[in-house]
Amino acid sequence: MKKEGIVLAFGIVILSAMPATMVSAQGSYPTRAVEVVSPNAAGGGLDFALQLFKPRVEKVLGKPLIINYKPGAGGIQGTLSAKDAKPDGYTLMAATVSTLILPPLTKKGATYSLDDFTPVCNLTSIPLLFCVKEDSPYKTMEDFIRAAKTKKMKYATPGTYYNVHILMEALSRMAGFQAIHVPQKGTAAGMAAVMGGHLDMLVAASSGQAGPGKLRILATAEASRLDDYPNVSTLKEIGYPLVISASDSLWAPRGVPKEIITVLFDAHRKAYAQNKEEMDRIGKTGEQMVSILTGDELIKVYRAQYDFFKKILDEMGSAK
Amino acid sequence: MIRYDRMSSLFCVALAAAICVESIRLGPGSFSNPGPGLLPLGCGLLLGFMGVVQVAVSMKGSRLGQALLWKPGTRWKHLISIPVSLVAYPLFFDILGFHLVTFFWTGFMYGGVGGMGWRSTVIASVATTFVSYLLFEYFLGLRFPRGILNV
Amino acid sequence: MYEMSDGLLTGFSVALSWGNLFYCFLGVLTGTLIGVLPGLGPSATISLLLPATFYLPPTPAIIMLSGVYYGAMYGGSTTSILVNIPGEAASVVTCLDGYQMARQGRAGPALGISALGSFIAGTIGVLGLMIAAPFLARFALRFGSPEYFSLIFMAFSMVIYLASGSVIKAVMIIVLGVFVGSIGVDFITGDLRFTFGSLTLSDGVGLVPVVMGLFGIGEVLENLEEETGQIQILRTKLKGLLPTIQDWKDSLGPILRGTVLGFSLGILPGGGAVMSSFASYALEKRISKHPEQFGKGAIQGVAGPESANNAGSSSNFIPLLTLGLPCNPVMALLLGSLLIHGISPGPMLIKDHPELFWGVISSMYIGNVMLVLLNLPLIGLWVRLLSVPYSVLFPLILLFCLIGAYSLNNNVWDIIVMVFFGIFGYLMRKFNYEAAPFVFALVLSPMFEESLRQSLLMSEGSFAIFFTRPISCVLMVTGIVLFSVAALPWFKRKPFRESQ
Repeated sequence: MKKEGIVLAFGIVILSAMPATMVSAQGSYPTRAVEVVSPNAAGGGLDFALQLFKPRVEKVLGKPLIINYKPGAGGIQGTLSAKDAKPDGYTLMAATVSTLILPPLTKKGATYSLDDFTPVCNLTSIPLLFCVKEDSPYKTMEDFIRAAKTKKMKYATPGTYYNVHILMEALSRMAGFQAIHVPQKGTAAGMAAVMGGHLDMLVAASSGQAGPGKLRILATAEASRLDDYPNVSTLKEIGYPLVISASDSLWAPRGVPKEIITVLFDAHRKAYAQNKEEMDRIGKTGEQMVSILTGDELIKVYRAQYDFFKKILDEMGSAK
Repeated sequence: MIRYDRMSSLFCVALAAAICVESIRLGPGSFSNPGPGLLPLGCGLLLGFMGVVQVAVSMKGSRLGQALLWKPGTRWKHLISIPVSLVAYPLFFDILGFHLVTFFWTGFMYGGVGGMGWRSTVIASVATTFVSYLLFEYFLGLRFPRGILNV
Repeated sequence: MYEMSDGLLTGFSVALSWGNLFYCFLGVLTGTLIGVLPGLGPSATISLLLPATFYLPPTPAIIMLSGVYYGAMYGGSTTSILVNIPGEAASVVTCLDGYQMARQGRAGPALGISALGSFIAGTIGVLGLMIAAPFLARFALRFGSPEYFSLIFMAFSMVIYLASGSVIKAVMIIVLGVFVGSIGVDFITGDLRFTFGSLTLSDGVGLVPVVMGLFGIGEVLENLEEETGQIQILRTKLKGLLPTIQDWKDSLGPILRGTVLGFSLGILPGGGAVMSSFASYALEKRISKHPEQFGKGAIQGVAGPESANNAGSSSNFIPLLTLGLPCNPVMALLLGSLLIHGISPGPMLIKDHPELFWGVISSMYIGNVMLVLLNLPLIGLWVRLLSVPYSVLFPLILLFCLIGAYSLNNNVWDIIVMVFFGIFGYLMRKFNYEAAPFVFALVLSPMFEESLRQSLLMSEGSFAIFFTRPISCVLMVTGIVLFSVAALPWFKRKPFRESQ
């Protein structure tokens, strides 16, 4: 059995040698590889953002980034392990709203808060969408809300107490309708349920729902209309001032020296500046928008979301 | 077998009771708004019911002769030492590190359980440890705890 | 039709380029070997390889990653047959008769038929993928939560109906499996269930540790308990390396039926693979003239499920390539890989990226040929492995289980879970309960609960929803009939396993 293992390993070694690590470094940090703990599994939306930046940031930093996947307990496990890491700048953490903000609000065992981490840089921003079946009779979000007041609509989300679930709860309170929440396991399952006509609406972060033969977007929760969907209105426009997006971001354990944070932030900003067109194009296929925010801006956005979610969750009577 | 069926069924009934208690604590909810305890409660009730049925069936008399579950020659030493060593393996994983633990563990298996001589035990354990290091850690790039040797 | 032949031409010209042939080979080779190592399943491997493929163009990247996937399905049967360790849920069924065949000295034919059966199934599966992909994907969308619930209910009834021992025990084992599958976070309310405060358990009881424990460790314990000096897995002499003419006659039907079953169930998300392999086994046992041979080394019990397994691994691609919906974790990884290459799969994929769509499909055909060429010569090597004395083999088996379980999440608790189920599996053997239905129920439990609760939410508490929808109604009624037939005469039926 061993011989084959070596052959197999040989293949893997060839492949993993491909991303050449290159270019000299200036300054002292980093002197070795930097580990990024990902609380979500490989292949998902967060991983997409990380992989989008990784090769380009490596070029600027001159040292490899190693993504260490520690999925588990809805992101709690990876986040906890990053919280306890040495604050030397060699262990960073990738996060989304769903791994960093929501678990402490809704789950037992999530013994961390925003204060345990230092923000490094926001990577991408992902719009939240309200979608219906392609041939649905509801052409606009107003149509849908009007209909929802007379008929109990069934809507899908990727899971209970996800940002989109809380968002839809907030909307239904504001607009004065009641809808049945039928949580799914992930966005793909929700898409299938709405495409098959089993449920009326999908509320989820953008991940390839729209397009011919798929779903139709009725509204977003963005501040302004999306470039790609100029005909899709925002909730704000139609009178519900709910502005909220998902984001993928990079954090460090609390206590990492300021200089190191600056080096890391600059590396990301520079990587994007150098490859703007390419990264925007790839980002678009993954339905993410590259959005570099400084640490201060990042933590402001996350704080605001925390307060919003906490308020709605308290109203729902379902905080943990 | 009949007697043993009764034993295993009684165990299942006891387990079912525990499941039911905890499911009710979790809250089975209602059919229109099912709670987290609904499915476990269903499982508990059905398991308990089937257990009782099996006990009843076994009471109807033993059609078949009583076979012994464990024959006289059973090597209890192995039945106990293997699970214990399997549990010990991860317990010492973090302290001793992958290589040392694997070396000692395979040594115990080859020598202690497998009954090899001490010289071949040492050779076999070193070889196994080295090969598993090569295969899993070096080539497949899995990360194991390093432990006190820090290698 | 014209479009298809045109597409195929494009496809083969893409897939037959040296570079793509190389990546295809690398993929199936990696897949086979990863399939052989217990624990390291295709999803672990693909997530390991994923970052590296970002540096490749999309077509070779997907060709290689899909090669890993169906290659792993191919290789997964090897350890099931040789040492009774199923690498994943779908090869649990292969253990039942495959391992018994190995003990009778027929490991060669078992491995041979599973390789060749897989080849036939894979080939037909690829053909089906080309012809029927868009149509089938649309059909799969008609399955909503009520349909899934009825389907799984029917599957449970089928397993109970065909249990080889007592019906009561079969029901108990399935209920227990469903219960263990419900451990962890409740996906609707977020409550923790039966976790005893453990974060690891909040993700549920992992399938791979359970399967390795129940089968692999349980078997080692049973083998070592007896005082027979040098234990050999091979109690008899080797009988031939390849399937005989008679084996072929016995297996051809199961292979074809398994292919159809596997292909159709593979389109559905989640439990498709495991359901199709169990369904194929159940079907073969039902129509066999000698059902008593099942579980004692019947070659039909290897040929059918293995083919189902592999046909399913082609049809798994249908929802991804035509609708952009991944139906299992591996497909989700492939979706991730497509996206980072700037390709968004969906109904427009065939038009926008014909070289990718047809290239990948053609490469799957080529990959299947490579797999046979790769696997047949290996059979001799695998069979020779069985002649290693058991005192040397069993520590290796256990060590592979230990490392396999740990490597899943780098978490020692997975090892503890594995050991627990090792002891549980050993006791189940002792007390005459079957382990396979337990695994079946464990795998399907989350979907079972999810679809039940979603259906009830949709219907606001009415069970009529399962009968008012036509597809669901047919499945539900079939399930109820099967269950009644199995359950009613339970006191009359003589469980034929009891005499052991």
